[in-house]
Amino acid sequence: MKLPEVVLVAVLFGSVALILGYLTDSPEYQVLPEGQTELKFVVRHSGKRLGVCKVPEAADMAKLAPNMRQLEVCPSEKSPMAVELRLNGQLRYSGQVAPSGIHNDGVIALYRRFSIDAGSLDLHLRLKSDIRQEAFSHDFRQTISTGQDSIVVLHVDDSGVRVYQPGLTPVS
Amino acid sequence: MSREISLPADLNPLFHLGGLGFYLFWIVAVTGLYLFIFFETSIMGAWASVELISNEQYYVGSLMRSLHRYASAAMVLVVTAHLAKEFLMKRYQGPRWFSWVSGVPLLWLLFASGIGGYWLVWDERAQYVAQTTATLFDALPIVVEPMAFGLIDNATVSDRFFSLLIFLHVGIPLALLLGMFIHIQRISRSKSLPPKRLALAALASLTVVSLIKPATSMAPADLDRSVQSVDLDWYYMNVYPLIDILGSGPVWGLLLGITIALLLVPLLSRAPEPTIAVVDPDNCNGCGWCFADCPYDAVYMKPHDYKKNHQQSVVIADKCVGCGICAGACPTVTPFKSVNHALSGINLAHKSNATILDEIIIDLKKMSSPGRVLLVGCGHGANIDGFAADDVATVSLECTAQLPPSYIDYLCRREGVDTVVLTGCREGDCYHRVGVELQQARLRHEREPHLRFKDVAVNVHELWVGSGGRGAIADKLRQLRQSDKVGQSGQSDQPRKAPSAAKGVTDEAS
Repeated sequence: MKLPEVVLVAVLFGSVALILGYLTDSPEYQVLPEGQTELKFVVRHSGKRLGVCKVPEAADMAKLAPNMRQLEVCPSEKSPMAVELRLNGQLRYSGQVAPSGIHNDGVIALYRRFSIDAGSLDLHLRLKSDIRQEAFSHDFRQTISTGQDSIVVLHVDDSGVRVYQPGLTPVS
Repeated sequence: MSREISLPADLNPLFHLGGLGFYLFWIVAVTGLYLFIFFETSIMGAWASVELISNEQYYVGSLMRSLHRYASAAMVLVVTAHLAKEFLMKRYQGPRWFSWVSGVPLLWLLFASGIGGYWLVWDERAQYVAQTTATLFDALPIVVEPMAFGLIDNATVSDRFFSLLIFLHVGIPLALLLGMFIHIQRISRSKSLPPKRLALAALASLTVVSLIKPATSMAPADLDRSVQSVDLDWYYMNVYPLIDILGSGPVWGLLLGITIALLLVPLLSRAPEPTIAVVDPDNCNGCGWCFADCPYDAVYMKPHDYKKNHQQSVVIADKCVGCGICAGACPTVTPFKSVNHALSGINLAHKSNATILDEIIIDLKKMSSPGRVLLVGCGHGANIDGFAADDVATVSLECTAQLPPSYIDYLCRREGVDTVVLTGCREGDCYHRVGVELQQARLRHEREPHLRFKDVAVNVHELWVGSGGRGAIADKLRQLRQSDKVGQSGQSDQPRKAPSAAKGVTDEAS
C-alpha cells in the first residue's frame, strides 16, 4: 500500500473513530430543566365493582353442584376511576383509568411522571372510584416543599393517598 | 496528470458492511463474556463491579469494557449504512426480499441488546433509560401493571430485576445471532467476516478510541433522586428524548411505522420479473460449476434425468435472480466445437449464450476498421450505450460474469477482436455479490472455466469502475485508439499476470 493510501485509510478510520467516541456519550441531554425535579404519580387501586351482589334463587342454587353453590353472586366488572391532578393550580392530569383485564375486573393502575419546580408544591388530587357518581369521592390537598433533585411520590392505593419523598422523612 | 487516490477494495468498509457487522458482533460477544466474569448481578454490586473492572485491572478491564461499548456503537453505524446501501442499490427486489425482510427484526434485536447493556451498569444513565423504557412499554394496552412500579424508588428495585436484565442481555444477543444466521441463508458464499486488513484496521481504530477515551459510568443510580442530565449514547438512545417530548404513543407509532415501512419496501418497487436460468439436460455434463458459482444458492445438483452416472443442474426459480453467472460458468458452451458450438448446459431463459455470441459476431462483421474492440457492459455498472462505433462492438449483460471466458478466446482468435474491455461494478461492490470476483478468477486462471490463451489474456482490459464510470470507459477507448498497437498494448488498468499456457493447451481447443 502506498503512502497516500495509508494516509487515506488512517484519516477515514480515524474520523469514524472520532465520531464513534464522541456520540457514545455526547452531547449531554438535559432531562429536566434547571431548578426542576420530578413527581411520580402512582395509582394502584383494586377499584369498585359496578354491580351489586345478589343472593341466588333457591331453584338456581339447586341446579348447581353443591360445591358451586355460593351465598352471593357478585358481578366482577369494575368502574373506571376518574382522576384529576393539579400541581400548583395547574391541571396536569385528567382522565379515567380503566381496570385491567378483558372483563375490566383487574386492578386499576396508573403511573405518570411530571416535572415540577423545586420549592413549594401545592398538590390537589381528586378521585372518583365510581364514575356513575356526579361528584368526586376523594379530595386530597397538600402543600409540600421539595429539593431540586429529590423526587416526590404521590401514591394512591386502597388505604388512601400518600405523599412522600424517598430517602427523606415521609411528608404524610 | 493528477492521480486519483482511492481506498483498496479490501479496506473499504462500504464494500463489506455485512461482514463488518458480524465481526463487530463477535468483538462485542468476546468482550462481553470477559465483563460477565467480573460483573455482579445485584443492585448494590452492579455499579461497583463495573467500576472495579474499569479501574482496577491495569487497563485490561477498561479496554475490554470500552471495546464492548464502541464495537456495539459501531454496529449501529455499520448496520445503518448496510441498510441504506442495500436500499439505494435496490437489493430488496425479487428473490432478495427474504434477506431484506429477515434483516428488519434484527434492528429491534440490535437496539434491545445495546440498550439492555446500558441498564446493567446501573448508573444515572441506566436509571433514566430504565424509567423511560418502562414508560414506553407501559403505554402498550397489554400491560396490566406498569413496569415502572418496580422503579419508583430505591425500595422498589430488587436483585431479581438484575437477574432478569442479565438474562435478557445474554438472550437477546443470542436471538440476534440466530437472526443473523437466518438473514444470510438464501445467499451462498456469504461473507460473514471482512477481509483481514479491514478487520485489523477496524479493531485498531476501536482500540485507539478505547485507550484515548475509555468508557466510563455516570454516578450510581439513585431512584430516590431525579436525574437532571444524562450522557446519552446517541447511537442507541436517540429515541429517548423523543419519548420525553412526544410521549409514548407517538413514538410507538413512529417506531412501528418505520418497521412496517421497511417490511413493505420489497412490495413498493416491483422488480422486473427476473429471467431465470434454465438447464438444458442434453448439454449439461454435471460438472457443477454453475452450482459452485451461483451467488444466490439457486442451483443444486441431482442425478441426471437420463444419463447414467451423471449429475445435472437444477435451478430453483424462487431464488434465481437471473444474473447469468451460471451461464458464464458453463464449460459446454465452447464455441470452438465444430458441432452445436454455442449450446450451453445452462442459459438465461430470455437470452441464451448462443444468442449473445451470434449478436456479437454480427456486429463484428459489420465493422471495417482494424483494431476492433469488444466492450462488455454490466447491467449495474456504467451504461455503455453510445460507445458502439466502427471499431467498437458492445454487448451489455446482466452481469459481466455472464460472459464465458471461452467466448473471449474465440472472439479474439476467430473473429478478429484485438482487445476486450470488461466493465462492471467496482471491485468488492458487485451488485450480484461475486460476479466481478468470479470473472477475475476465471481470467487469471484461478477458477474454471478460465481463459486458455496467453496472447488473448494480455489483451483483456478490466475496468471495474461502477455505474459512474462512463468517463473512464471513454478515456480507455480513446487511449486504445491512440495506441499504435491496439490489441497488443496490454495496457490493462488492472495489470494482470498472463496465465501460463494451460497444461497441454497451447493452441486452440477443439
